[in-house]
Amino acid sequence: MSKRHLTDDELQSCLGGDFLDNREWIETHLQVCEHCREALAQYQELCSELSRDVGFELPPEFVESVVSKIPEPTAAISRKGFVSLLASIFGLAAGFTALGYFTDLRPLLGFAEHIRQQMTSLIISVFSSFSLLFSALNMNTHLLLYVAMVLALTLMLDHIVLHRKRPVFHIK
Amino acid sequence: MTDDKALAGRILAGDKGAFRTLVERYQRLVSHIVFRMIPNDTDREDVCQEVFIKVYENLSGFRFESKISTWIARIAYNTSVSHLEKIKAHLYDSICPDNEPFQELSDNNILPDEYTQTRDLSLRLAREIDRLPVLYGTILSLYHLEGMSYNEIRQIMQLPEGTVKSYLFRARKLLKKRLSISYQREEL
Repeated sequence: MSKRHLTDDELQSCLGGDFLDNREWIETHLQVCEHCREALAQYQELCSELSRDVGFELPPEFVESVVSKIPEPTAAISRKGFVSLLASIFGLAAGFTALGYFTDLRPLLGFAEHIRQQMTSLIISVFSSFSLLFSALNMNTHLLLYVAMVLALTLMLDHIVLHRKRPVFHIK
Repeated sequence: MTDDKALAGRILAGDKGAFRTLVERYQRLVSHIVFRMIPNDTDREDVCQEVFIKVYENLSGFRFESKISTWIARIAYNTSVSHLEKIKAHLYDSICPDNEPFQELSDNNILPDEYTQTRDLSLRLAREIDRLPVLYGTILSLYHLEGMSYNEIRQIMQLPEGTVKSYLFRARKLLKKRLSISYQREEL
């Protein structure tokens, strides 16, 4: 058995119970060495003193002071917001009706019809290309379309309902 | 953890009372970190407030992958570091290698009379901790006052676990040495 004293790391390893590899030797040495026992006792006293509350205390009004600085969360979908949304829709509808009544929209409508036709043919051609692809892959196009629609709808609902329900915080 | 989760849920639903409970629950933890790291008395309370406002702001992004106490402690630590950077204090100042003589560290700026005035061991210890590098003091607080594990401290301070353990050992070694020197002086 070595006659050396315990190193500082060996002494401190006894404090937290996380012994080093030579745990057995450390324990045996402590039984026979007064010097190391005293050094360990000093560490134990230090640790017990370190664990005492040091009195770092915030003033009693601290909690209220912090809470008062917290901004009000914005309401999810408030009644006021719903009313203003309805008013906007009605306003837009009234505006378009007035525009249609007082102006000649035929050229504009013709142009819109042309765009609609172009878009429809584009969508149909894309859709038929995908149909060909899916049939080549032996997949059901309609089923996939339904799945896509359900996913899109779920995302939309999540965005509108769940996402808007989360409070939004703004720090002034 | 479940209780903290429920509390967080209520806070996110806009319940200010729940936030009050959270502040009451964790103000001790935050003050232990901030008071150890921030030297200026007047700044300490402001930094503590800043910590809790950040907690409130970022709570919706917290995914409970760690304990909420670890997360709050990390915010407190980072906020204190930013504050120290602002006031140009050096976080790593005087973290000495193992072989550095203790005499230099133990003797500076302490008048012998001060030791006789502060007879109480707790006061003397508090004084000695204040003279330690900021990181050492913070690790001592987290380990001994908050009872945190090396792993939790690692997460809070973003240091390797081995470094946390090594700093803790060095800090205790320094304190033991310094306190025994002060005892010797008193005996003389």
